[in-house]
Amino acid sequence: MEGRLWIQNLALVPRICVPDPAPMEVCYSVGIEDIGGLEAPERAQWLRVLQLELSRMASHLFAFGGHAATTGMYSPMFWGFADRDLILDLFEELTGGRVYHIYNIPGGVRRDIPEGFLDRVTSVMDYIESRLSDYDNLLFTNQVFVDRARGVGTLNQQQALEWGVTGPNLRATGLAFDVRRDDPYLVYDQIEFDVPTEQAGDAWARTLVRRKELVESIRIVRQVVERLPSIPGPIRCPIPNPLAWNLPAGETYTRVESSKGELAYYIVSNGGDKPYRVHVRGPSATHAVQVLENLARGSRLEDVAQIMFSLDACPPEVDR
Amino acid sequence: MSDIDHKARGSLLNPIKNWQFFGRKPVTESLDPRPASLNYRGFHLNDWEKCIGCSTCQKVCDNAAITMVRIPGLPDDPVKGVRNERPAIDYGRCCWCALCVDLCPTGSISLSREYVHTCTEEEIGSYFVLPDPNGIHGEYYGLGWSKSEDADLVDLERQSMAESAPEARIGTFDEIVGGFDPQQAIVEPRAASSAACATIPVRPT
Repeated sequence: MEGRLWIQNLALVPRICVPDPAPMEVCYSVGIEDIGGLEAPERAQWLRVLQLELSRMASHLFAFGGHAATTGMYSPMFWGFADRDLILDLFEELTGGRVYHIYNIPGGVRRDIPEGFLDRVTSVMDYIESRLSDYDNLLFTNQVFVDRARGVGTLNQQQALEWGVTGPNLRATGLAFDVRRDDPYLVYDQIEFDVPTEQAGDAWARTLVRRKELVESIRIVRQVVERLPSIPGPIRCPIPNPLAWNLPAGETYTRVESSKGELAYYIVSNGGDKPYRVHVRGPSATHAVQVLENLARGSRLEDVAQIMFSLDACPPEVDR
Repeated sequence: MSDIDHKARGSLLNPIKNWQFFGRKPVTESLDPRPASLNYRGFHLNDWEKCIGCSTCQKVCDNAAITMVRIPGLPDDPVKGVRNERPAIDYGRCCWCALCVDLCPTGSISLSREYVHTCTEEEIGSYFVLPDPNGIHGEYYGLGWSKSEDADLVDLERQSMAESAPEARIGTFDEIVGGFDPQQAIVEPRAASSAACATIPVRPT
């Protein structure tokens, strides 16, 4: 990233986490705004929240479908994929890209919502909400799944804190910490939502936290849909010519809550047209390496896959 | 605590209840091609009448997917900033970020709603495309991501010249050379030749 212009990295950062790319671009853009003294207009901030929450939902549907598949249950995975596709349709309409949105730009977002878009968002939310009871029936109260996932890969709160666990994996140990609520960014301080927790800290608890967060994300998206029409204004503040943009010297550490956990960017500018240093503090590198290694020790071989999936790590972000 | 009871056991009648799925709309859909959305970032289109061959798209391309190809016969007037080159896209490298569209000074380049291209190994060169107004297969699929007021990143204001430190400035003309862009050099050839002398250090007065 240090060899590319500030703006060129926008196309690169979503690749760090394929299932949940939105937090990557938002965090990077907010970091540049911090250093450059820019402020995204309010409408852009609401649009970013909409993008982040839709991305979180898509990622969670992917995650618990994946966890189900590791216990031999493929139907929840197919259902999760099919329902996630409806969210990808929304992304296609809003951002032009289904998986890699590249929707953010330092200073705001690149497109306003198309006509009738919010109605389509509402109908997808209604549909996904109506599917939750099917998911519960098929997966979360299914005794095959419950017996397989409960008590597997258990970590307690102290271990979670020592090992640097964040996000749903930390909340599954009973600690209600969420960057959106405890260190609000964008307009999350104007939005009502709960931080669901579980106490058990096992694979089942982790997946259940994601299931509950899906409900909270639907709640947040509905609030955005309600508020967005009354928020006027531009969606981007002016930025200098991106090809000759020498960002002032400075450094910043910005963090957001991704679907995997706490995601942060440490960005240093030395006043040039390219970053001097960009470091991505991602949740998956922690979860998929030291946490998985600790949890897998002494567990049954057939459970390793589901421990891995219940931690919901993102391989491209682990490889660094 | 969870509102989903892990001890709850399903009813024996559940298999019968599942028959309801026969009455529901299937969640899977056929693989027939469907039209992409209006903002879709598909294969490139380029309006050759508008394009001036400035290579801004090539400069912003983060994957080095764009090569400027010289097309004999097209207008070529460096003084007016018009070159007889047109961008060619290597789809083995392109990531469809559309930064080339947002930075195009003339708005000639845009993305279409076309998204399917397959070929045999012998035709692998077909991934290297010189976009025209009709798209990769000559069948216009409609305009996708194009330049809009919101996404226009072109800034035609002249950038201020970087200032060197006094001790560097006193010894050479580096500051002037650095601030003298290549386009200006073509317009003012005499100034360019003077600037070329600037690498020779001068004695501080």
